[in-house]
Amino acid sequence: MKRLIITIITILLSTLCLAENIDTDFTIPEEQEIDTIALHGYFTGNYTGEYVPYFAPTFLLDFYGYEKDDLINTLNLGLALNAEYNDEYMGFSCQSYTDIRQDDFSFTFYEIYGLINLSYNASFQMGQIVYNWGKGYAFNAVGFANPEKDPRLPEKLGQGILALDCQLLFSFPSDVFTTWALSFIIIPDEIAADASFDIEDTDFALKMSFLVADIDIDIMGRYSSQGQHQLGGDFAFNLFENLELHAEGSYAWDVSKVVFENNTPQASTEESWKFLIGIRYLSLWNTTVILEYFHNSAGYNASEYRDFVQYIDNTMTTGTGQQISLLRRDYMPLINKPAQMQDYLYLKLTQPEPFELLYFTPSLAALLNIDDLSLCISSLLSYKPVNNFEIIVESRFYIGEATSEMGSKAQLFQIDFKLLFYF
Amino acid sequence: MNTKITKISSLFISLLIFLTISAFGQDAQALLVQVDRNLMPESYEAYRKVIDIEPDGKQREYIFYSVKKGRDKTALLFLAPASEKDRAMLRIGDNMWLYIPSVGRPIRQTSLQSVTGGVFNNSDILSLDLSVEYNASILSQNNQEYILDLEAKTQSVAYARVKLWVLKNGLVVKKMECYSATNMLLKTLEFKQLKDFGGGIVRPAVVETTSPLYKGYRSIMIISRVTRKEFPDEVFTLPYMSKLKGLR
Repeated sequence: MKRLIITIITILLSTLCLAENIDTDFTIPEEQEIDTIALHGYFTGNYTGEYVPYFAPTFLLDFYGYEKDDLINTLNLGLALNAEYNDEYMGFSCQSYTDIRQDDFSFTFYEIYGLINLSYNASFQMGQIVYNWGKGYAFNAVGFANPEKDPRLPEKLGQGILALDCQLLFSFPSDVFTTWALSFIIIPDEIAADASFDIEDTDFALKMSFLVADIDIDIMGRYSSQGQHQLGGDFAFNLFENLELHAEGSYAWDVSKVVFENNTPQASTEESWKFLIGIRYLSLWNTTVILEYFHNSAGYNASEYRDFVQYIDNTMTTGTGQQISLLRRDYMPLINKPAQMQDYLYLKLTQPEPFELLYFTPSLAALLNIDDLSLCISSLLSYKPVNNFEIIVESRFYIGEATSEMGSKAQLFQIDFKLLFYF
Repeated sequence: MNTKITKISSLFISLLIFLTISAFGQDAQALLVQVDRNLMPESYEAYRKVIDIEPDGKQREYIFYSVKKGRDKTALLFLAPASEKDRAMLRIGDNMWLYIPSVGRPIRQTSLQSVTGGVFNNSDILSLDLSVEYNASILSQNNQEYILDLEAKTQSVAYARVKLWVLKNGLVVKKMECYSATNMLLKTLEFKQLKDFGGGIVRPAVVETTSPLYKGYRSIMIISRVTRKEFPDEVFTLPYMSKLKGLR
């Protein structure tokens, strides 16, 4: 009774004090749809302009057969459509992207998998799944199951892999050791998976995660049917309230490498060490700074990369049509491979809402190849004038000698203008 | 019969707490613990709507589903707008992570950042019990209210000092002023519109925030459907962040 009287008096007092009465009822999205499949995603209209001067060997390779044109303009429409179903015991997720161009059309499943939750401690997933192991922002040393990360577009995830995984998760009532999780992944050989399942062609990956003394720690490995086994670990923690430190390190056996000494491709295998160390810092002015150093012992050094570019140049200028076709078949993936060399430094500055420009976030990033001192500078401007509508302007400049990694890119300058409508 | 005994016991305990606090005014920390319990149950699920209002009246809204367990574990799922849907945040003590589906893994955050923009920062939205983060002392009191002085227990807490106005009737928070280490007023939170959420939960349904650093702007948080609920500890872990949507 006393409680009731106190409550009534307090409610009355509180109501009397109010100058403005706010409606406290609001509609909760998808309230009626919890047991049905939820559809969401975005429509996008994109313009891409690329300045591609006709001198880089990689241009000749990348744009082989194209008419010579310094400025290439592309317009396209896209639809990212995600479908999801989730309840306590099972789930389904599908992420697709449809790209429509004037003379081209493509449809891609990034992810499509089913999920069974046996309990809060155990679950299974099967299908095409995107993994993102590691703590690095721009680079990845322990992405044993990840799509390859491009430091020029670090927030863009690639397609998932065909996999079956089992996840175990346990939490402990301790101030020091609070979480233990295990993820065991069976990765069938992509070609064999179409027709049959052969254990000899199957890879296995394992990740164990811990939260110990406020430090996120992962230990992972991959057994490869091709012999390129990998072992690694990562951690992240807050050194101070506004300063996070993260690192990754891995070791791999029998990593294949092709060098082009004396204009002749020579394939070999070697052991590889990769590691990265980075910080994320939030300044008093709300600027986020990300700084990362990455090393890959199996990457090219400056001289090896120069040999590679010269080999392409020689073949493109003196080779037969068949030799050029073979070059494109064998080395296009290498040309397009991000971070091919040994040492990189990455710096990104993000300043939300500068000069009181609401919902506007500019960021500036620099990717420095330490081996040949070539540089990629990129900027991203994001503006969200109203809910669910975003304008993005993204640009990249490549700076360096013609035989350096960034200087040998087909494009010297690239700009993307995107309009996104989320639904 | 049992219910009657329980009610009498509760009344007796409440009276005892009230008398203890009155008699030993220095026991402000016990008062703060009671204020925490009156503000939210120790473990619960709730929905929140945050409205950022610009000086010209333009508004931007976010809707969250939030869960909490014990004194220092809380998680939150973005339900709207569509551009932010399925983002999740987790806080365990001073540690905070943000999960963005397109990034595919949790990223460490700080309590000073704001995932929504506006005047509320991460620690306002993912708030823990005040008694976990602050040591309390009674600054002053009159017939109607206590004014508590809260001092951060560690440097990682978002506000170095908080001045808290608590109504003596019901021990309900009325207002909070948040200060930096240099004693600069960072923001003021006003708690409004007491509402009975059922299950014995009676608390302000609206929290309005203004800041001298964002003149003319204000943010309003509306709290809805607060329900006492126990969750396993596994819900408050990094691997579970991508599965939070299955909890609803």
